Amino acid sequence: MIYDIVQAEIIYVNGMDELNHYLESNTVDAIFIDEAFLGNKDERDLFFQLKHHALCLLFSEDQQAVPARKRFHAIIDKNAPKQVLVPLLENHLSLDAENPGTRSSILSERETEVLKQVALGYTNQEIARQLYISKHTVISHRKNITSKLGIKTVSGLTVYAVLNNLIPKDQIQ
Amino acid sequence: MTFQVDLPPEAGNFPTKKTHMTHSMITPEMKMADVIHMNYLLLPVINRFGIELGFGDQTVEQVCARQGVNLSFFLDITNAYHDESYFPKEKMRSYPVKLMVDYLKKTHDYYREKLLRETQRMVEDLLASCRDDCENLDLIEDFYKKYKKELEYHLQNEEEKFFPYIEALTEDENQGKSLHDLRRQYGFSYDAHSVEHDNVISKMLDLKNILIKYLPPNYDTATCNNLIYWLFVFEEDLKDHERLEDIILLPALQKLESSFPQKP
Repeated sequence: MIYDIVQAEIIYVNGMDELNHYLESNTVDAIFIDEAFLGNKDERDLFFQLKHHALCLLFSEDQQAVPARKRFHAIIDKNAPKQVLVPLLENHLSLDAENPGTRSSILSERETEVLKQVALGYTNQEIARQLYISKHTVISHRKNITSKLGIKTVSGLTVYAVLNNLIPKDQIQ
Repeated sequence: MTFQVDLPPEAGNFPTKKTHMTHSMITPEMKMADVIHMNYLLLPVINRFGIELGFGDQTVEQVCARQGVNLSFFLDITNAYHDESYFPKEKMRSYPVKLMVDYLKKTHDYYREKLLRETQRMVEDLLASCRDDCENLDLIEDFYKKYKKELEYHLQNEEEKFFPYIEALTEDENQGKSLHDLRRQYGFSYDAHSVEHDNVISKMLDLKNILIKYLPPNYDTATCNNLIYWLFVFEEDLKDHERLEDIILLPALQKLESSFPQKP
């Protein structure tokens, strides 16, 4: 259904086991989930983690009745016209309309949060506490930030953060 | 219309700056002028040996003899700089420590008196060329000023602690003293040394990337290009310098240390 919206490689998996198996060795930009395939609460909880790595969109027959809504970036009516996806995909994936298919080097929301904290001079431990994530996750976000931006040092990341209005200049230490 | 460039198969698909150049080695019989024609980035390296321009048709060997430069050392240093894949570790570790330290000190002088100052001037030029909304450029200047300070501190630290320490280990009067005492006397520690190197190179890369990828171009383009060219040259030099210190001098130091008693 989204073929004509974005030019992308689309992989179909049947159920959560297959999805997990695929994600072990691949990264994806977005996951489209049909609610009918979701079973128990545990399966929903998995998206709590996945949400940090990919855009998670849940398609449902009855949008209002979906439990554990926060596990997903958005709940979408199965019968809604496909155009509703366009702003979602554009915002979350920062799709480059002129170069379809190129992997986005734009930071995810979570990475942006981590970057702000780094730029404000917090340590990994402090960032982990403030964002309720493990120190290990902070380190992995930092690795991604560095590889996406091509900036490694704290002072370099701080300049980037100010240039992009992520933190005010007067808060630089 | 496209231009086809025929690269030798070993050059690979992505020729880097160094593979663009003729890959031939610098040899004793080569004319010194041809060395510069082959790779003009060697100019400051050659200067560090006290060699100045105007060599006419003299060969590398002749120029070195005239200046009292160790020919074999000159060839290894220039070839390693010219071609990243040339790095005869064992041979380079066998040169007297003083020879290497003197070369590195000259490199420090060049950083302080030339590269850092010139880069500073170019950053100032960039700021002066700002059209409007110059706050972003202030950030670049702040970043560079801090970087300059850090690098100067790092250079000074090496000159006051690392170099005197390693030279002291080669001196007769210190033989038999304990390493513990010598390290304390010169304030040298391995940990502080290696972390700093990593940072010096990373910040240079960051500055380049910020200029190339992220800084909104509200400045004079040619001025910014100048700065970026200069940063590329600077980075190459720093990498070479770091390699000599970390791969040649540090193991040489460890070897020297192994002949000293650990405990006081």
